[in-house]
Amino acid sequence: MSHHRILVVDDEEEIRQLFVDILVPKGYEVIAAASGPEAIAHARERPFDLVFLDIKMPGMNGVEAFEALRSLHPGAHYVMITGYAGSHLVDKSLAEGALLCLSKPFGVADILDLVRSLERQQAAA
Amino acid sequence: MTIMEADGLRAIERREGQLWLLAFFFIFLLAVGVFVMDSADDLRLPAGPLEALLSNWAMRSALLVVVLLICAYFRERVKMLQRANRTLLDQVRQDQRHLDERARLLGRWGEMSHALITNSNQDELLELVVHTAIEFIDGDTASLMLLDEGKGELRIAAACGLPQEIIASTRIPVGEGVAGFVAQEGEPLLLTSDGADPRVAPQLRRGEEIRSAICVPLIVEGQVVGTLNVNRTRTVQDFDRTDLNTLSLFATQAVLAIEKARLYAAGQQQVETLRHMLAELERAQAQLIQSEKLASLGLLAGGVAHEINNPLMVILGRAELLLQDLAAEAPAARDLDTIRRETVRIADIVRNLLRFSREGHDGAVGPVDVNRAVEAVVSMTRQILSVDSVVIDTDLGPDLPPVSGNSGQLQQVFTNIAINAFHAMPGGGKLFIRTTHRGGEISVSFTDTGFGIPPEHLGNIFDPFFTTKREGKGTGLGLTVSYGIIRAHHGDIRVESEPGKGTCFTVILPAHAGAEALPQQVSQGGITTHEPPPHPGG
Repeated sequence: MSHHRILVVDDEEEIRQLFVDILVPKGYEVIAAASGPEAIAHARERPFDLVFLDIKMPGMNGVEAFEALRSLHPGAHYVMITGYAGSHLVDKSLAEGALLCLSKPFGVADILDLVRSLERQQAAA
Repeated sequence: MTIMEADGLRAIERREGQLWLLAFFFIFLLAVGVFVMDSADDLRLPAGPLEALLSNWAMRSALLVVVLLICAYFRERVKMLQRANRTLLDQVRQDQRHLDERARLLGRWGEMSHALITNSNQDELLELVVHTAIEFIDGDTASLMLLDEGKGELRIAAACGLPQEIIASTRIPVGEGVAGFVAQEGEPLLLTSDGADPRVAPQLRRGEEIRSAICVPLIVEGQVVGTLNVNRTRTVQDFDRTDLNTLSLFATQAVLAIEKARLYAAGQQQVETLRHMLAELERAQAQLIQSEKLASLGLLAGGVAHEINNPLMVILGRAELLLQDLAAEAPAARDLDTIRRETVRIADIVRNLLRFSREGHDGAVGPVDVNRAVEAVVSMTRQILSVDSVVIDTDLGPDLPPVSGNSGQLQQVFTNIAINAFHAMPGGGKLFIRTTHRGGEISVSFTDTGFGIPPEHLGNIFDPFFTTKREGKGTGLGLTVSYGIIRAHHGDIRVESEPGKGTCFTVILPAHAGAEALPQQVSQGGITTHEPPPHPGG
């Protein structure tokens, strides 16, 4: 059983629930947030190892949330999620230190492979 | 007067001479008779004044002399008349010849006028003018020179009897030489062997073989446009003023026809230019329509992609989660797998659509070796399709300059076209890929021996979602995407097809001109990686 803590930030309920249903059975602790401010509130309570951040969200967008979260927990890995890879926000987040960007739709295997490889990387460090 | 009448005149003249001879003979006989009578007593004439006169010897002799003198006088008179008659006859004959020649020339003039008016081909017309000029005034060689106003020199436009190298190389500045003088002064010039015109004498020495020459200006609306030159090299007799007048008159008519042909040619040229411009305009319009279609599609795709990708992600994820829980052989597993595959297909379509809204801003741009891109596509196509029945042949042009663009996108275009070709040859065939380079453009042509595209479909093949492939085989976006990519590379795709014989797609791309940098951005859909930053904590 892993103690990897994962935060999923997406304004779409179905997407958040999908992440939960994929990762929780594999033993990960998953916290879901529907907006940037909600994610920041969770992060203030406890740190996360990995954060999935949707870029396009009403109110605070994913990049703004990423900047706030990173100032709280600079050691975490941040993975941006987008439905539209052409956005300049993708470049901005990558330039500011986001690990990578996933274009929707991606599969279960993509998520699990990524989480596991980061977990191994962290264990090795 | 005809030749027959002239012959009749000569016959009369002959008979007249014979009659006179006969008359002399009788008079002579009469004179002799008088002498004989005098000596014969039995034939003595009756007495009277005449007898008395004749009986005198002295008188008889004098009479004989007078008679002989009269005879001689009339003989001389007859000869003189005969000579006058002959001179007159010769004159008549000469006039007859002149008239015949005039009639012939007039006939030719009429023919020429007709030919000049009806002929609209400028080159043929100039040849005709030169040959007719020679014919009209019995020249040996001739040339027609036209004035190049920009350079201020005369060039030979048509010639007869001159070597080709002279025709091609002769350039006479206005004011120099015989033709240059005539072009400058606008006056005709007659040059004869006994004494050249002092105004151009030094120049005439050049052409030693020319014995006599006439050069007349060709004038349109008061402006000299050229000269017509006729020379005698073999003919001993020099040209005269009549020849000069004839050629001048001919030149005035010829120049009108030349001008008419020039205007006609200029008109034709303009028509051709307009036709060409119209074709270009139609092409540009077709491209614009196609580009507009792509732009609208891109705009639409960009707008809805985000909304579509979220539900797609949920469907895909849920299907995969369910599949994990099911045994592979479970009946529901197959259905779920179908859902998963079809979802991926929708995702691909959306991804393709999205490319439009990003074309031109997307992907690494730099010099691309088209031959290498084609080789990569050929190798990949062979592997992926593993079709043995289709033979791929390539003819890759040597020293092909690179094009400016994104290697991956260009390979995608080539792959799309190659795959289409394979789909067009289900029973096997040949795909021939050739790269060529001409005038700053690189062409990549894909020629297949497939079933071809019906003419009514040719105008739609680049339209989004247009496909003739059976369901599930194509999205109808391959060529749309390809067209969008090539347009973003400032190129074009042209198609020629003959149903039943095959299709040829030609991708035309401008050669790479220096370093043309566009911002490097995220390109492919899916995962875009970025190296993690150095960990602050080490």
